[in-house]
Amino acid sequence: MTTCNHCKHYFPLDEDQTKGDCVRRVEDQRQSYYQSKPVEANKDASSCPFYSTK
Amino acid sequence: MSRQRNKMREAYASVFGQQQPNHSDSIKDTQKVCGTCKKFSESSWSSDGRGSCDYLKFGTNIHSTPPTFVFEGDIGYLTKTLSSAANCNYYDKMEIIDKDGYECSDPRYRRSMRQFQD
Amino acid sequence: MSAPEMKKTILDFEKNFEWWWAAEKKRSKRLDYLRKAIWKKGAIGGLYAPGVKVDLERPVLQTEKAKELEFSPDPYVVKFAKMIAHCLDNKTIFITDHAQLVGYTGSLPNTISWDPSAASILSEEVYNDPTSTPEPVDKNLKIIEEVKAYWSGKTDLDKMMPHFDFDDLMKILSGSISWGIPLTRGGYSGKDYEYLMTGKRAFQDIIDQIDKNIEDADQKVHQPTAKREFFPLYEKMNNWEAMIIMLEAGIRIAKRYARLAKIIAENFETDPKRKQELLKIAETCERVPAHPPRNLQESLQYDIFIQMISRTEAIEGAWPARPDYYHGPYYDKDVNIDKTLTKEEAIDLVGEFLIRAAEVCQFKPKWSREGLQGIDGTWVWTLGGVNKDGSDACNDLTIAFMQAARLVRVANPTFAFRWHPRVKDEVMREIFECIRQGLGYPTLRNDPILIANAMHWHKHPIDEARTWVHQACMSPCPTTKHGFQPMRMANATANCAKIMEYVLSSGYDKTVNMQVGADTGDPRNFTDFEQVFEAWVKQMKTIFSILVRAVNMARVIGPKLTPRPFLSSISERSVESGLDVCEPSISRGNAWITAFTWVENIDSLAAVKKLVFDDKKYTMAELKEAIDKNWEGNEKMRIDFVRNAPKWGNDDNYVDDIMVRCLREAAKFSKEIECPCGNTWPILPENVSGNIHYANVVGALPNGRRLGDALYDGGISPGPGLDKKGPTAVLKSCAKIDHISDGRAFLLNQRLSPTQLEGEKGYQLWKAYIRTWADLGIDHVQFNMVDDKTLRSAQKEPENYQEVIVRVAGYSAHFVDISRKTQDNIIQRTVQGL
Repeated sequence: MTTCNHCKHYFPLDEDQTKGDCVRRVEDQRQSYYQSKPVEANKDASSCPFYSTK
Repeated sequence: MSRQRNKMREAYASVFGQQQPNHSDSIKDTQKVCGTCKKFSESSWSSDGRGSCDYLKFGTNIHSTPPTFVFEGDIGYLTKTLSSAANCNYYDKMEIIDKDGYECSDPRYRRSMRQFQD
Repeated sequence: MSAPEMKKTILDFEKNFEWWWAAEKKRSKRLDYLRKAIWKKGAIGGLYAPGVKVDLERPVLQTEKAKELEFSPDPYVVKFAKMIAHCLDNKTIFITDHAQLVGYTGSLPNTISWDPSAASILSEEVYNDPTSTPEPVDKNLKIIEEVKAYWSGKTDLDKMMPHFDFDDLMKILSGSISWGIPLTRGGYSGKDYEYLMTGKRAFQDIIDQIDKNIEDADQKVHQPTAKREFFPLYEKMNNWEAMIIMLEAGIRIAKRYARLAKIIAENFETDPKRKQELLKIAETCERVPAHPPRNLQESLQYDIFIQMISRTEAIEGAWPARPDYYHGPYYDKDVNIDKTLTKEEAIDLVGEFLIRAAEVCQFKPKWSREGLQGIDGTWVWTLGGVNKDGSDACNDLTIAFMQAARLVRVANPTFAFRWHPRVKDEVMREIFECIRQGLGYPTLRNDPILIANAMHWHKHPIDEARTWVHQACMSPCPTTKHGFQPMRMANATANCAKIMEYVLSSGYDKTVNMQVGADTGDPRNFTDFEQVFEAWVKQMKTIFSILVRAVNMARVIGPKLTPRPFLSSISERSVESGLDVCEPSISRGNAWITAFTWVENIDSLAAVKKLVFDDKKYTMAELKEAIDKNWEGNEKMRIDFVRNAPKWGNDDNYVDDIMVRCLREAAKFSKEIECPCGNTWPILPENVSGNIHYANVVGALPNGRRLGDALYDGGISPGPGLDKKGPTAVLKSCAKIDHISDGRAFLLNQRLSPTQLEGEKGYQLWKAYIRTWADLGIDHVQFNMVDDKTLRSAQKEPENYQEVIVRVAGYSAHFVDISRKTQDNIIQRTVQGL
């Protein structure tokens, strides 16, 4: 199964390898930024439009 | 409970109680709604479409068959912008002045009413 | 900027008073980027700007946690804290390119946060709002509907409303006499800055103190002998537990930002300078808010985190702050002592701090957006003033804030300067420059008068009174343990023009078709002015009492039903006592009634006195008939009442005496009514954009207005175009009021000519005017200094005038972001020649 921890956007927490942050770059009409969302390492990423294998 | 207190509680419930079905769903003429009547004022306290009729009083029911009209009392008839006025004998259509949704206060009527198409 | 404009120099723009273009050229590349990066959050007219969308992440997170906790044995305050903590732990966060400061209530830069647990009617507005549902609209409307349905019957408003008196409630809900909802989580929250922002402690220190408090309490309640005095400790321990949950969540979210900054620096950023900046952000967010700040960046970041968490806990309609006073020591350390920052680098940080504040937005009801057009807010930051010992508190950061404001030209935050006789000339010049460059701020506040005012009305000791900040637009509030007010509910905002309307209708409100005011008898039977005035006093007392009763009730029951554990956790009196911060018994009280649409009463009463009773030109019966018909068929009579009755603001004792008399009746009554803390309820005439918002609610009046006409722009400002005798006459009228004891404060708008105030001569003219203002004991003045030509051009080509700012009333807004009617109303204001 495709899971978040195999994605290049995934950055695990040092203190807890079962969790991490999904970090992506976004450019909207006014600004560019990096966003971060907490995710579980083994979360199903098969329908994630941003998934990209490490 | 005093009659006045009871009446006030009923009036409050009519505004904040169980959501009433949107009567305009069932009517063909969607323009004949309370919000396009000259007698309607949208409340400036909430802006979710609630308002009052400056002619009819609390106790009125314009959706019943036949409709009931009350003209006396301390509280106005509380209704909503999109409430059907199909059966209201006192509906008086306002002139739609502009449709620009950005103006918040027309000389007479509030913004939401002025968004209606003519 | 168009191609021809690109060729112009800064001097060219300044010569043409095109300050916004000059600012764009002057500010650093970083500030320019960040300024243009802002998504405009102020509603235009009443609608949010295109592209701005309601944030659905928080409502979904909060709802999922609420469902999970439904059968949990936790008391409500702990559950609530856990819900907010869950939102902070799991929300999306972001760091904008070139930013040095982080933190936002929404999940993305273009989102506005929605609290689904505040009020069902608010959630209904979210559902019905035509522009702010994010894509895909159908799917997200379904989500909104589900969230709305879950919270229906459970929101703060649902919990509070059944406790109010229904008679009062129906009158408030009619929207005729007031706006605002009496909620602890929906209003203007002061902060105990003396506890939180003096460098003595931060979140971890407070957690350690609360831990100790819980331990002490726990030991007591488990003693073998059960004592009555221990009963309150159970509730206190729950409150303390909730406070810790909030503080720990605050520390965790900061560390999430630290982590993100480090990830970007180590994995994505290639520019070495930017890498260092990101690592500095990481270091900053590891430090604050857990520990006290050590430098300016940490101090500003600490402040942003406090505001972010506070605005996640509640819908906050204001931002009481004294940024130069509390951040000033860090500026001094970095720029002057350690020299770790240049002045330019400090300006970049300060300018960015203004930008972070400008982008804050929470979904507000449409009536609020219409009343405060062009901004979410209002954030009135207090600069200057005195220290607790009475010495001048201005510092280098006072100047830096004003310089940064001229570069970034945000409308919100806006500044209010606490003027006192020892303010240095260099500071006055900075103030003048801000006003001259068309920011509409700082407003000037007469510090000695307002300190005396705070001591008079609310008995704040002098050293506490001297700490005062603007709680919202105008009203002073200390930043001290017992002095700060945790919640000012906008519900105590009276649409005062109704007082006069009800004199003529014996309390019956034609617009909403109900008896709202008192039965003061048929006005046609009044045979002299004193009877009219007596009816006016009775209507005034009736309206004020309705509003005060509702707010008092909310203050008393709010702490139990709708607690604020985060605000409590950063307030000394709550950390110490274990009681919710809104609990009246631990507060001195700082209530006031905002008096919208006040001057209409004065001009109307003067007109009745003159034309009916003195000149005997009309009878009361004729006047009533004309008013009942909205002046239709009586235009000549209406013009008579407009033109031939004396008007406020012309140094005319005939009408000025009426103003003073009305205020003193209100002041007397203010001392008879009490807040739950046992303190007084003085009135404060001002308007925001209530003059437009209420235009179709207030009926015809004897000052000649018709239903639908814009009302006056508020406070004690004369009606637009009705001040005919120059600015000194306006000041002299205003000076007849005792600004210490006749009310809480009094807003005064003045419009000045940009050409007259050029150069050194212009500055000296203005300074002399301010001296006159101060000597006359007036407490407030605010200026618009933009000419008609610019404003009319901005109406035609708004895209070229995006950063033109005007002073609306208690706040500033970008001219292009306010409705046409409000724009015209501002243009109508008399331009005073000094």
